[in-house]
Amino acid sequence: MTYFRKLKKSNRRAYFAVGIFFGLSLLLMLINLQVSPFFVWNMYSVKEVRSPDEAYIAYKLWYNGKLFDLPVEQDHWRMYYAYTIAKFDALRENGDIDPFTAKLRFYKVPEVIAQQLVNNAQSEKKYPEWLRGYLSEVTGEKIQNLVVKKYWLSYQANEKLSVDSSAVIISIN
Amino acid sequence: MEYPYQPYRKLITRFVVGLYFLILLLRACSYNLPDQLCHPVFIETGYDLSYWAIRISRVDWLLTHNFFAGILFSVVLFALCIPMFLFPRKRIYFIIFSILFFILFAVSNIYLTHSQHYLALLVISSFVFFGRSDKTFSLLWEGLRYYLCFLFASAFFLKFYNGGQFQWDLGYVVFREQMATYLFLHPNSWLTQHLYSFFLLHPTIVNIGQKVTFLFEGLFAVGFFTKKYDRLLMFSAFFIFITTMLFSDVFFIEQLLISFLILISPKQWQRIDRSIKRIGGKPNKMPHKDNTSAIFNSSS
Repeated sequence: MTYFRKLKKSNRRAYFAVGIFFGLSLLLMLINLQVSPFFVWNMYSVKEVRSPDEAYIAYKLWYNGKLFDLPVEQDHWRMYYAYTIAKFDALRENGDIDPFTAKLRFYKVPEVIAQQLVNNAQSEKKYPEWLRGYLSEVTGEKIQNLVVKKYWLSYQANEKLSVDSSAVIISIN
Repeated sequence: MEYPYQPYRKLITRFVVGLYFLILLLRACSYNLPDQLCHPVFIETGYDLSYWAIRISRVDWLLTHNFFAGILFSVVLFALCIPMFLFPRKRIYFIIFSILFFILFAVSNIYLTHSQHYLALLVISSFVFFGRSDKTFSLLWEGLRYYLCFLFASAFFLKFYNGGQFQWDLGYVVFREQMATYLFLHPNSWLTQHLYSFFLLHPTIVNIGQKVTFLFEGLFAVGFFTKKYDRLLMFSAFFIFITTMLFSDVFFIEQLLISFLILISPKQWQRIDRSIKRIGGKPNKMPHKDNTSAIFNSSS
């Protein structure tokens, strides 16, 4: 352990700080609990099992009649929409109840804290207007109308995607 | 004792500060800073206790819902880059910046409703500038290189630990899932027509590609024992992030750029230093001595 020996000889405080940091990072990695900045780098580490009839989900957003569609190089411009729309949809489908609420109850997290950690029906109601405001900033346009449509997709035998069904989940005029 | 990065503290610090500035600029241009989020409504903390602390203290609310606090936060983050660049040894600026940058990371993720690692490595990187002496800096910068190796090696290890690696078609399943939106929105794009259509019809290639990417992650474990292959590790990082971009539709540009800086060897820093000198900078007086010692060298 040349590095740690060198660190110990050179700076004891740094040695303990780095040692504790690496130790905690290892420990939390093993129990799969991220407490930032002790990150757990577990991307794509679990098995992904899909039933053959499970649909793939995609969302399409139109603002002022135009499709909002940015390439991966502009990931940062689209990410606050891309992640939150799925959150909105999940809440909507779960009867306005954040699925995390049940988990916090399971671990008996005091209600006063739990309230700070979950979304509620109010957040869901405010979301379409927030989306309009945020997209106005991103696109630089005043948004008069906005539509978000959800699609249930499946891959055909030739691996082309086809639409099984669709539904409008947000519509502002 | 060798401190290979000691002569290049100023240079390395300035490069990293430059990167922080560019990343902040990218965030500002893409409307990702807390004051630009237009009073976001959804949150997601998961079990991350640091996010819980931010929520309970209402720091996130203050930065995203109070106009002046949000603006002040962003301005201070940007402004701190100036003294950090001009006075690379003044720790106080780095300590304040590190705290604020961590808050930026946490608040961004809370309102993104997903704990993404875009800024994670930059959060860790900010700690290495806390060292008072140049020797401590050198050791901490070396430690950061080991952390980078830990990052990828643990990603490799966790794919076994959590079972993902035992699923042969993981690559293909993830590819179909992650790219569904892109394929649906761009059925006639060049990438869909020429690249993705081919891979969709050849799942074996995708699965082999995923295993190769996984091996590139595992390669970082070698970095604990020797620095000889750091160029290969640089290529591995590039390969991992570019394939993630192409096949998972997410681009971790922040992680990619800081990984490159971390893997630059003392010899390469010396060359950069000389090139800058030629343009007009001051020469570094301390001689360079390359270090290829290993973290796990039992003979020492």
